[in-house]
Amino acid sequence: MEKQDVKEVDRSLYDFKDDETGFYRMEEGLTADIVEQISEEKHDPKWMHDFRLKSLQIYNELKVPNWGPPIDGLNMDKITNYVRPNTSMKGDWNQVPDEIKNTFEKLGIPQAERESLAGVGAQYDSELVYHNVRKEVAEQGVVYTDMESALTGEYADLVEQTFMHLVPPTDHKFAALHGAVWSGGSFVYVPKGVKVEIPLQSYFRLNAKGAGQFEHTLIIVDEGADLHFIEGCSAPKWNVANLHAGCVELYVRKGARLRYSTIENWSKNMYNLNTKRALVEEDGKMEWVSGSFGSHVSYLYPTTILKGDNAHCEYTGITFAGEGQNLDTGAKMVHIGKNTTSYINSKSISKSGGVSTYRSSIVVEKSAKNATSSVDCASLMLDDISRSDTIPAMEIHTADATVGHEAKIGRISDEAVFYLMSRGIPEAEARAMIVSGFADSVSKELPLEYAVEMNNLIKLEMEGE
Amino acid sequence: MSETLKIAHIPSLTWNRLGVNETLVEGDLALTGDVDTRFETLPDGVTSRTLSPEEAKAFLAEHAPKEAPEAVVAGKVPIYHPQTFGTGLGADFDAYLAQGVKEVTLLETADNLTLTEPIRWDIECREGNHVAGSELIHVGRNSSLTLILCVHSDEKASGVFGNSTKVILEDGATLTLAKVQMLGSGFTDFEDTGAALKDNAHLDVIQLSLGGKASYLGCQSELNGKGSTMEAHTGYIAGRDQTVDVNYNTIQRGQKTDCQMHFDGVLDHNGQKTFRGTIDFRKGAKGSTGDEQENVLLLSEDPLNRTLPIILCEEEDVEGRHGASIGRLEDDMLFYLATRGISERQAQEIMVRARLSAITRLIPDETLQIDIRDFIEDAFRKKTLS
Repeated sequence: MEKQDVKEVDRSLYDFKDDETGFYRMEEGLTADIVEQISEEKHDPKWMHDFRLKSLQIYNELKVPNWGPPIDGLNMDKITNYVRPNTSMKGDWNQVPDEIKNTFEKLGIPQAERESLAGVGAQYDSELVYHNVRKEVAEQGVVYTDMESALTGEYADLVEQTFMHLVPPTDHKFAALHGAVWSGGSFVYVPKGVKVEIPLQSYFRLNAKGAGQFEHTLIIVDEGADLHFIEGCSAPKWNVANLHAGCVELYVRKGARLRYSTIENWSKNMYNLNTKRALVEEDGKMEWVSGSFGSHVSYLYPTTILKGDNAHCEYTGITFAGEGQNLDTGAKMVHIGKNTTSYINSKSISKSGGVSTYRSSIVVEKSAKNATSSVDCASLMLDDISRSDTIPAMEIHTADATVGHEAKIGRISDEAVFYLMSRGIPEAEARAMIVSGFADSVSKELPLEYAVEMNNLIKLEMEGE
Repeated sequence: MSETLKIAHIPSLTWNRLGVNETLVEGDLALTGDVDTRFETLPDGVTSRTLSPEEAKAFLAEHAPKEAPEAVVAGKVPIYHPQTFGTGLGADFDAYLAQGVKEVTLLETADNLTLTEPIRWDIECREGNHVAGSELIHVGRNSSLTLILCVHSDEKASGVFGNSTKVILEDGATLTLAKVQMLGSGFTDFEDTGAALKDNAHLDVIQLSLGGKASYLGCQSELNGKGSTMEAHTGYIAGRDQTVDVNYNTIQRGQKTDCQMHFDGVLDHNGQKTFRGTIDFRKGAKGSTGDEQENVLLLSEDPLNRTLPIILCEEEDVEGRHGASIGRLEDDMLFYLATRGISERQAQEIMVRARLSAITRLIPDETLQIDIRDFIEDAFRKKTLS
């Protein structure tokens, strides 16, 4: 049965391309004119129009990072920053054009919505093409809509007060880029005390060759509320660079809980320069579950600011870097409140010349009395042409804290492979099983169908063994 | 004259805002002379002579591992700090030291020589000294040597002391290198080490940084030969108004190499410490292992502790590990000691002594061990520590 699952997985599941007939594609490059055009296209309120131009100015002033994977292959003059599909956003899959609908059908989104999701947002290139939330969830007062509607809707003031406040455009060059050209994404508001029993999901599909996708996700989980949000993404592979510079801002209010799960499977020509940040208030809980499998280059470090007393965060992540991939991932924790706790559990796998880097920072401010932080990271090298690095930093400003860190790096144990082979399992399959076991701490944190997808991705990556 | 030094670069950068990619040292650092590095008596089989800086450079170039700059750290934005012979504080420190060092001492042993007694070199710094020393240590095949370098001054003295030790260990050679710093409260201290190890060579580094206003400790060990090994035990105190900055980097190129690095420190009052420790497994280091552990005891409300333990790996058949434990004394231990009539302050003192004593005991010189213990007691008495 396991073997059949491996064979059923087909790269064409993600790597198929749609025709762009009828789409609107802006010219390549990044200029004030292009930013103005995007703003006009989106019918921005004035503050957003000004915000975009200010972000562009900051973008032009900031340098590219000098510390991560090289991004020389990314030429912003060749990136198309806005591609609008040939449809407006719909609330019914039957109204979505067939080709786009079929794309999401292949990716299993409508089926997942019917079976196990409270709401779905589906973005195709620069715009949402579908957005819907279950009636019973909406009746609880949960708002789940596209970002553009949120800018002018009932929560417009809240959006203005929070948009890119956690991730200001000055944060780094690609945050500034996002501020200038963002398009699409979702806004979620969960009212006080509301517990959303099943997850919401946004799925981002970038079909356009040489284009960028810059969706913005803003989630506010109000006091005592509870939400699980799932983010998925994929793209077909092109022979030119594509760019993803999304931004996720999460507000976890007093006593609230938010789980944010991501299975990222961008194509291997993608530069994934994404920024995610959460602010957690008193007694709040933030949980990140992250699987990074795709993209050519990734810079991805979900950041959690534990501002309130007793705030808590857990990060569970896995990164699988295969041929042609340089994935620089990890997490950042900032402890400000008293009795705050954070836990990082990271796994990375390098294979077929892939480069995987675990990078993190733990900052415990002076105010974070009795803070506790624990980091556990493990890296697996599957051959001697790959690379795996671990670069964790800790900065502690108070004696009244306990910080622990453990990391290890190594290869698959020959004894374990031999043991499995002695029970009739072929070597390649034995190795795949061991890698899946290595990733088990991540997959068990995901809903079943996503855990299956993740395991299939691992098996797919291991097929070349 | 004020100048700025950029030292202690890490081989793979991280976020600049953390301030750990390198260390900037500013102030009146100008060197005015070198220290006298002549050894009064040396055991049979050990020789000492002086080299000009040019001769020393040529000697080192002969023994330095050959490496293309592209191989420094693959997969990252390339950073280059080319240095003839790698050390922990780096090329800028070499250039800085050249201001004051007019001759380099070369200490060599014959092959197949086993010395049971350590060679000890004491440097007494005086108020206002801005001095530096540089020595090359070349241990012959299957020989073993213990070298103790101890620098000290009056407790209130100020000045600058810089020292560089570059080590070449031939096949089967063993060096125990102990460096102890007990300078006065106004001194800035630079202690740099670089080592290249051939087949089955072994290096023990024991380092204690106890005094001074600011201490910069660097050590780069290159395990080039098959079966070469390195072990480090480093301890420090960063108490009132003290800064300690550590950069240890072990590059493992040979097959079946091993490095074990242990760091134990105490931060008190507004003491600041930055620790960077790198294990760098290069392609070909099959069957190698590496481990680094850091334990930091925080005693006060105002310390600043930065820790960056790095593992870089481009070889499959290796095992690397690092761990860090940073915090105060655990409540259950304090409670246990309190039930036996020991106050929190007394408990802290016991733990500080215990941590540093474990390293002190590794130095094979009982007189020096007593001096170190006295220095630590003085730190308590003068309230450098609580």
